[in-house]
Amino acid sequence: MFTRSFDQRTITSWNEGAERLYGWTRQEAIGQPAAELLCSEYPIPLEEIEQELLRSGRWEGNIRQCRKDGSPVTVAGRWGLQTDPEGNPYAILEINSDLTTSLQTSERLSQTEERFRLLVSAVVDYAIFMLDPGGTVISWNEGAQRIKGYSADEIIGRHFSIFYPAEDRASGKPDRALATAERDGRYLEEGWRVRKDGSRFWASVVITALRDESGRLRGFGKVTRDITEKHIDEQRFRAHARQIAESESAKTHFLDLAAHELAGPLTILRGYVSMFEGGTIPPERIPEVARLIEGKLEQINLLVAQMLEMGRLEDGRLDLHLETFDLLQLTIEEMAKLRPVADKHDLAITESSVSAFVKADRTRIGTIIANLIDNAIKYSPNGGQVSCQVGAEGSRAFVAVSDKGLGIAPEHISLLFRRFSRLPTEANKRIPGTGLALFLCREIAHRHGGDLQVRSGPDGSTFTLTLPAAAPA
Amino acid sequence: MTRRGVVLLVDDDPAIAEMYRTGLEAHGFQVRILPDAADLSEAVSELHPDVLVLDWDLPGVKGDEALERLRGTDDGRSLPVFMLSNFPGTRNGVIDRVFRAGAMAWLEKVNTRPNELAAKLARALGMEAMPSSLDAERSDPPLPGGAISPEPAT
Repeated sequence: MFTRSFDQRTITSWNEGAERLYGWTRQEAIGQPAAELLCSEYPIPLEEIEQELLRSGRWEGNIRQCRKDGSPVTVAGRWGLQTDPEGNPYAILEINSDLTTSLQTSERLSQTEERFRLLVSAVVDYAIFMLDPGGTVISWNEGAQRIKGYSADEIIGRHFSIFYPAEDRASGKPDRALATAERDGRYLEEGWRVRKDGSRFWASVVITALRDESGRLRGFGKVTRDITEKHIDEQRFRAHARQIAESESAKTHFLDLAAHELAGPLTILRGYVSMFEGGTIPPERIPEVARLIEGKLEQINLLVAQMLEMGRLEDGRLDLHLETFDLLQLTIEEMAKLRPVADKHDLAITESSVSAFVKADRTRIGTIIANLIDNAIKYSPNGGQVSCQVGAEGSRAFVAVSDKGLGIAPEHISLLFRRFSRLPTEANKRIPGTGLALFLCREIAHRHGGDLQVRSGPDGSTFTLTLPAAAPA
Repeated sequence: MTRRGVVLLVDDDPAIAEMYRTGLEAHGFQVRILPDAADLSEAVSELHPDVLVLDWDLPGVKGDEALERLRGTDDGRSLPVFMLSNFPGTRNGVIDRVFRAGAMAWLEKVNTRPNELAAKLARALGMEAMPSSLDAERSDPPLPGGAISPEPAT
């Protein structure tokens, strides 16, 4: 603050504030022309300022000046006209306060705000937006638009529950989320959210309560990220882990079943062998017992072959040894092997069967046919006819094995060929089996470019193995 | 060969039943076969067997339940009963139930040859001088031939 004479425009008083602001001492300043000393640049010509002072007694405006050291300073000037008792002006009181410091502060503040706003608005991977305390959207960024599909115009002013699936809205989940954020400071969640087009995405969500210095809730900051891909990967991983666990328990179950299935034939073999040793078998029964033993050995052999085959399949070591042979001849051979264990059944090749040549792994195809016949026997515990029809249709050769057995319910057909699966019927529990044979049979048929299909009704089932036909060798 | 009594054999696997019948008949037993235990009490009343050999894993009524029912009948109350099964008896407390129902032994089928079964049946019927009485057998450690002795009643 200083005064200067109205006429001379020279400085007549100079206070400590002026010394601090401009760097000139009172001795240096007094008597100097003010405008020159302070290199003042007025927003309007000085004459007009003086006219304004004469008219109203006061003037206000920003002035650019320089200090003693030459550094620039902008001041807010509030000037007053000093008059003597007669009303004649004799001095001007200049109260000039430094604007530079406060200007810089607010400029810096607005720059920071601008940068922050740019940062938030430009982030595309995260939806970052604000809600008022009631949950209405009051700001929106690029990421939010990208992730949720709404433009700022469309969404600002709407309640944020629009992002939740209908069932979550109905259960009041959005309000609970805000209540949690208000109570705990924040709310974290992963869950399904809905885009503008109705599609869903798996979101990672953080809602943060925003409070002012007095602690009053001003709204919520919400950061949402679309992690659908990660979620799907995790789901896949979990499903895979579950599959492995299921497969492990299925294997354990399989071992149980296999042990049980082996126990029956082994009991019989061991019993008869001990009787052969003890000479307690009536000689006339020996041929019959020998055939029975052969049949039981074949059943054990089938099971062991299954287990070996399963191991090869899992290791990818299942190599096919192809040769050309007649399916009819093979079917006759396999049927003969199983006849001894089918005392209640009438095993027969249908009269309409004809030779059908294929180029395939003879041992493995033989195993498939044996399994189909063995199943037909086992699953028709009351006996009846088990018939095999062999022939060719177009480019396909086939063996169809039919029984008059329990039949398979339509809803169980799809379970039949699943690994280790056994049909959950009471009648089935009586029949030993590992749930592996049909899975393996179909797998091996597929590897030959063939297939294994089933038709079933209340009066029995027919399993049909088809293979690409070949010319006779 | 001396007549050594009537064995009633309950087994749903005809090949196994036939094998044991062959073996037991060679040891002088008469063997009657039932494919399941549904009419066990009636069969016992009718056939008056000297000993019962019962599979556990039967269609319909299981071995322990069939035995419990049988123990409630006059003809079945004191009939010696051997359980003969390939079912893993330690599972689900099956063996315990079987012994509570009053079986003399749980024999693992795959480890019980017909001559071994014949010897056990003969011993149970007191038809042969044997080194150990039935009571001694009860307190023995697990028997050779896959037999598991009953545990002391608790």
